[in-house]
Amino acid sequence: MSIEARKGSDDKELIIAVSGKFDFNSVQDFRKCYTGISNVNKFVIDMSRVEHIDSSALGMLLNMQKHVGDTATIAISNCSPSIKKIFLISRFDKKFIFN
Amino acid sequence: MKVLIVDDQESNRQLLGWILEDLGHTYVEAENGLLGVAKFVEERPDLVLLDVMMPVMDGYEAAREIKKQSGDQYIPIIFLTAMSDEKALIKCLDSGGDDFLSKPVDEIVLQAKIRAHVRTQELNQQVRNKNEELTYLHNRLQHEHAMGEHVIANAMRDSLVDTGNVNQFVSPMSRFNGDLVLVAAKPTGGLYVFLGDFTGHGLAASIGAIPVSQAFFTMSQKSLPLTEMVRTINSSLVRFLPDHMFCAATLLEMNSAGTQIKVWCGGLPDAIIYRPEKGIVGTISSRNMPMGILDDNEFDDSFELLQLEHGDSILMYTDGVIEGLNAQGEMFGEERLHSLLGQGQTKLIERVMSSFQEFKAGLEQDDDISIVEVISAPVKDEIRDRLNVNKADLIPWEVRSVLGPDDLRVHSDPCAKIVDMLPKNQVYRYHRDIIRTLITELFSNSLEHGLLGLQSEIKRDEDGFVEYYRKREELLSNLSEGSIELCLSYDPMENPDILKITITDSGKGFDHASIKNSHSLENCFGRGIGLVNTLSHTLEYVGCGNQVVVHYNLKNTE
Repeated sequence: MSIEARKGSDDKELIIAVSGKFDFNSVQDFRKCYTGISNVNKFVIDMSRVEHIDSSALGMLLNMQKHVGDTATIAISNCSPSIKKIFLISRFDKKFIFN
Repeated sequence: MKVLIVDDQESNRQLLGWILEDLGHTYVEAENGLLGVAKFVEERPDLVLLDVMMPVMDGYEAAREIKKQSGDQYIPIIFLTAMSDEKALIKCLDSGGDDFLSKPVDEIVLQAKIRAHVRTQELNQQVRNKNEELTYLHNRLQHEHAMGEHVIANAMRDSLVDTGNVNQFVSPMSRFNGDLVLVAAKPTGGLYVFLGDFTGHGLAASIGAIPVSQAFFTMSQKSLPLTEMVRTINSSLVRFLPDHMFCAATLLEMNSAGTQIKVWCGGLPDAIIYRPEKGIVGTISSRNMPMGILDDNEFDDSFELLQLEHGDSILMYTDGVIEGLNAQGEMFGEERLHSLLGQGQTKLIERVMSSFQEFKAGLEQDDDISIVEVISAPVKDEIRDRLNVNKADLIPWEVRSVLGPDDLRVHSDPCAKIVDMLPKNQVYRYHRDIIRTLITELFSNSLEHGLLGLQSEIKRDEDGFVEYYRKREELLSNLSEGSIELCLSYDPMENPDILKITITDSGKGFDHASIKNSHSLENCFGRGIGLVNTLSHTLEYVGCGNQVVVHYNLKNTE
């Protein structure tokens, strides 16, 4: 498990790339990626290297969304089909952008 | 060159011998027809000078005999004759002579005739060589074709023909088919059907069948989604085929109830949706380029989703059908095809093909022709069951792991390890991600709530969330007693479709009813059990809540 944040195509975009297992062990690292950050209006969670998620990852994403509120959008990208299924079962498509 | 002189007059032989030596040739001689034939067999000369009137055997008979001995090799026979009457000359030709030379022999004329016959002989030799070469190449080609046929037939051997859901008519233009029809059962229920038409016809076109069928059957065995199949087949064709070759194709997946079809079309004519009581109720148009052209990043794998009623048919065909020409140069055409399919038809393919044959009126077909009819009906179970040839898959089994405090501290993710122990057959491969999710969620609950006694409510706000996991770590490191038992079991006698997951912890149990009901997006906790509830067939807490039993349906592919 590792989490990396990097600037996206413009300064207002931040890409958070998670790899391996996205579970409770990521709580601190994941949170650090978006707290104390200003001037970002779009977060992209890059899931392309995630092999497994559990419900605590869902919780972390919801927390993140509460934290950023209306100041930014959160997109969840490059999910594998089985991970996407978990998001959809929990109706995350209502609150997050998927692509 | 070596010349055979056959003449009963020694002076004649001598004179001819001198002339031939003068011209730079060698010679052998014989004094009558019979000796001449023997000499011919012995010496194998390149040309024969033959007198007509001789004792023992005359020139006519000798000529016939010599020609017999020459076989298909051209060895010219020139008759030496003083005769001028036409009948005698014709008799010379009839008996196998190639030319005449009148006596007395003139050196210049003899030289000219020899040259002319040498040229003929050379041409004859060239033709013979070419013939030999052609025969060799033809035999080799036959052999290679037989081999190719064998390989291609084997590549397609797994295609199902008697599913009851698919009818097909396939007529290649030559020995090799540039069209390809593949049918496979989906292990988790349903069918896949592929119809493809490679550029061109014959061997070159049919070779593409090998990578396609390999990819098709490998992926169908894994019950992979349609999008992944079209993407993989496309990539493998991009890699295998030369740039000018591609494959117009339709790939279709039908669910086991036969009521829903996912279809991807690239480059084939519009497929027809037929409903017996109504006739044609729709068409499915190609929305993509054929396979084997676009790189993976340009390729569009999106499909159309169709709902069917039982008895409906999807009729797919290659362009050989509508582009077939009659003697007047008219095309069979889509309109004619559609006009055949009014309401109440039962044998669609027969109807189309008999009309097509009538249209062609005995004319040879101009392209490979394939028609495939996919009928909406529940897919018979035995078709899928044939896949599970190895009935040994169905023995009962159980995996059990009891984890005490030290195990729980060392192994942060024991569920992944348990999932690795699942049987290695396709069914489990297909479901393993979901099974892992189920076990992970149930295990977390047992550990965090059952064993460590954590309350989900702590996670109500963001700081609580972090606090919750800090506490989890602290409690886990101080844990001194208790255990969690993970058990996966399968009993085909009880139910061949159900995998049973049982997790028992040594905790006090908990009020599971309230947690089960708190599944909502607004809560950041209790989501796990909601997820398990959605993904599983049944979920049940036993006793005081320290044991949870989940039934997971292995045939569920939705």
